Amino acid sequence: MRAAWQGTRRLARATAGFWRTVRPTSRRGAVLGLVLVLGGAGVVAGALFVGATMAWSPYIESSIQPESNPRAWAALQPNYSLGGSCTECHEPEAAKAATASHAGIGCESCHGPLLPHVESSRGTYVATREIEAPTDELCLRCHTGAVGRPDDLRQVDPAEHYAPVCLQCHDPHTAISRRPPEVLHPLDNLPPCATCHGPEGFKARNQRHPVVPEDRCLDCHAAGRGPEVR
Amino acid sequence: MTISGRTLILAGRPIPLEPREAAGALGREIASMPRGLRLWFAVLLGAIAVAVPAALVALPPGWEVLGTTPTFEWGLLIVGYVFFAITTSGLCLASSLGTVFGIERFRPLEKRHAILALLCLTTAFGIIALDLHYPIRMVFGAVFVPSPSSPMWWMGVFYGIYLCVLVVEVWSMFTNHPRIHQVTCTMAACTAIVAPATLGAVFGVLVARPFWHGPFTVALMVASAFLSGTALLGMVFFAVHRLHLAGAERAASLAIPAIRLLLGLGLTVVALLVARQVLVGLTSDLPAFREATTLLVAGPLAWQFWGLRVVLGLAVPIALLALPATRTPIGTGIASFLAIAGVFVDRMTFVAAGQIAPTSVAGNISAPFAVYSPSLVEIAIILGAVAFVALAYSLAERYLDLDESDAHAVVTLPVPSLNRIRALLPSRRRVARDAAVGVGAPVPAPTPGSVEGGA
Amino acid sequence: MAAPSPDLPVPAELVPLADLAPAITEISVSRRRFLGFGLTLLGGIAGATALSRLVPVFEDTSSAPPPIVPAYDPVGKAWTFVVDSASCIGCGLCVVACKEENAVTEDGEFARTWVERHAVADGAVYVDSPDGGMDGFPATSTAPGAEGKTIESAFFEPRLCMQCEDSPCTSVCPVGATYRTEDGIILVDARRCIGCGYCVVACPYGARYLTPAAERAPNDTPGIADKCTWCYHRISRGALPACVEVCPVGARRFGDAADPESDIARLVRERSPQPLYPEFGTRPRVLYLGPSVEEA
Repeated sequence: MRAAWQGTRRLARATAGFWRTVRPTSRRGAVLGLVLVLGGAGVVAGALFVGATMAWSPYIESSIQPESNPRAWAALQPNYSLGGSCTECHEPEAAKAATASHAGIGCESCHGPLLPHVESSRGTYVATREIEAPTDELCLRCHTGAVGRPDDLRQVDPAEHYAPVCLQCHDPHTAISRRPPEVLHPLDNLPPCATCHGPEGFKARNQRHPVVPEDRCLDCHAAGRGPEVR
Repeated sequence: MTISGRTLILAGRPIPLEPREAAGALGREIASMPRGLRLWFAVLLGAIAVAVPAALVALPPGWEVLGTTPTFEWGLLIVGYVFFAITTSGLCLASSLGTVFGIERFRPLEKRHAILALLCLTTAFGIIALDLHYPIRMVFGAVFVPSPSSPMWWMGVFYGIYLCVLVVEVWSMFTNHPRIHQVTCTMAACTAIVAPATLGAVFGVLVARPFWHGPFTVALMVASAFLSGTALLGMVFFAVHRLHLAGAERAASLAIPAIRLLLGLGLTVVALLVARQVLVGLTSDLPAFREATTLLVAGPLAWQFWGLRVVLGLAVPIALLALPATRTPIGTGIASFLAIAGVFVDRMTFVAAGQIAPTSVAGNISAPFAVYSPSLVEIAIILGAVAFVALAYSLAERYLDLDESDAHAVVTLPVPSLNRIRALLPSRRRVARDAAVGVGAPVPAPTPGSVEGGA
Repeated sequence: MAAPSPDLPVPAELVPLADLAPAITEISVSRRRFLGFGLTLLGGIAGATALSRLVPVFEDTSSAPPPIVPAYDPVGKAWTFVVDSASCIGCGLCVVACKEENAVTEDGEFARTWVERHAVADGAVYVDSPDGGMDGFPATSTAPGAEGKTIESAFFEPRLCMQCEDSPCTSVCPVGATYRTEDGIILVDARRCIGCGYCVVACPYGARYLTPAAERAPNDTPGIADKCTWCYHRISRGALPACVEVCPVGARRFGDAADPESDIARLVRERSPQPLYPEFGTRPRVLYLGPSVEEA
């Protein structure tokens, strides 16, 4: 107790001694000292405030309100539709697609994110957001032959296949080729196919057909790929 | 530090504050340097001049200038951080032998240990601040919201404490507070074991990286710390002996033989741990561990591992220490240099081997293993960091009073005021000069009646 | 620092600071300069405060829109993801959908979900994933060393965050920026992440990366950790994750296994899908069917 008292007294004496050394001796010095102290306090407080609000608050906030960040994540705006919107307007297409070999594939797999389109038509049933037509690149994602794909998936080699635009011959909503009329002539003892089916002339072949060697016609047309020859 | 008129008095040297006078004094000082020293400073300043723009480019977030990829997220800056951090701990481990365990032969160069440790740790913090993308957040996040499940958080805690302890230790050393010095030295020695162990745990807890996973990573990290710290001291002792700096006599007669012993011990332990890791990795049941170890010893890291790490970093230093012909100060100096370079390469191969077996192949990989090549910015930062430590230490060696007062003596009487001790001391510079030319050992100045020689 | 030069006086005694006090008071400061100093100080504080308002980390979340899904109750949900690697055909539509839905960067190196092709040739497994499978797969494996080899068997393996129950990423984060929600989804708080990359190296499934720049909040900060969220904004609205929505072959299934009558619960019951790499012991919540787990 006594020691504590002595300690306190010593501290007080030291404080007083310190004060004597720094005590301003003139009016101007006093003002300057006051401003320095207040200004320093202001700078420290400002730095603390800025620092705390910049870096500290997310940590404090997440301790007080742990649900704030999950809520921010949940509040993100989706791009893909939230399910079941397409058939409201596109009933016939949906019904047709449901019978095709592409049945079960969602609209957005090929048509991309559709929520903006749906939102733009809400209430009016007239969409102001257009949908882009899928390109060949999309078809070939699945239908290019590649190691690892199952054999029962229709696969083409883009270099071999009649290539320009998939959708000119294939309707993805039925997923079968538009079949040309059946050819009913015997295959034996015929002149080369191009005699009749050259690029132009009698029974000319489709203008979009790729140029292939004469002897390769039956590679496709007798093998069940493309228009068949009987 | 005091101000008198227009002159700043720092460590007994007057420094003019008037710009023109200061420039003149600086010019005279540079002119008075030996040519080798001038060249040394020029090289270091050049490296720093390259590193400063690199560091500015890499200022947080700075994520785009690093060579790291999602499959190889920890690169050269992490290696640099780990290296400097463990070297700090190693310095304190070796340094504590003098003060904490009272091994007399380590006494003479204690100030040098402490200054180097402080420099290495601040450099380590600087590197990690450049590597982190939002380091300021760490200051607030780690302090105000503890994450006790994260070894990295504990690492921050221990190295943070370490920094405070080191600052107090260096302060007490230069201001002659023996009791505070004794306490902080003991604390630093304890932290010097815990901190690299936690750093080892940062890698050791990762199940995803079998090469890093396990308790031996902790052991390897502590052993590497001891090795690199001892090796750095070996280099310093050699320089002190060679350049006849203050304390050269005691360095040659006591410290260098001791360093030889400790360095040999560290090299042996590290060699054993590295051998264990390779053997266990090659025979492991875990494919990722096997793959990583195979790539380390026979893959793209093989030349680093065998050539730099095993031969130059372990075998040659052990030979230099063991062979009678090279049991000289210069042999020890070279062995120390090779050993510390080996530790750096070891940290590099360690960090690389942990990530070389990718956990996924998202994106294109051009090889069956993850590839990382450090960007020029990263290399410049690491070289600059080394140059900074060397420059700051050289400046301290030249301008600070590294001559040992008997700071660790046991004090029986009230601590005398700084000014009284200084008044009693003869000019320290003269003692230093005497020591340099070998006139007499720089024995602590007698301070009759106030301090009793300790231990 | 300079050496002592003969023309500068070296004081024999150090001058205590107290002796300098009169010297300090003698420094004269004109009133105008004085006022300027105060104004500069105030301006600086105000400017710093204004600047801090512009920094994204300081965005006030209290003004964020009220919860869009007030009916969503995270408690008691057992979200389960099942991947059938036998039916995946490697079209990469899931990767595209993920990038579109979550504003993930176009760079194929950074993917929240990606598809790997595992090809077996000469007893070795060659894994390739060009741009994460974003543009589909070429005819043969692009894995280094696989050229010219006859592929004996191959399969595609879609990958994403496993939302592990014993997640290494959350336990190693030094600032608690990545965390698990009540419904078991692991998310990253972009404002707390320091970008140390510890979670990236800690993930046994390579599901994380430090994002170069996500375009949309909350992950709009470059250099922070990012990963799959199982489309948290969709599942909390009762919808499927985008990758599940677009998969043309049903290789990705998703649902709440807490309801025993749900498709996903039935699937898990009947076909008992298995986690990938169970040896890491992280208890992943993505389960696999098909060659991914059958061979292992």
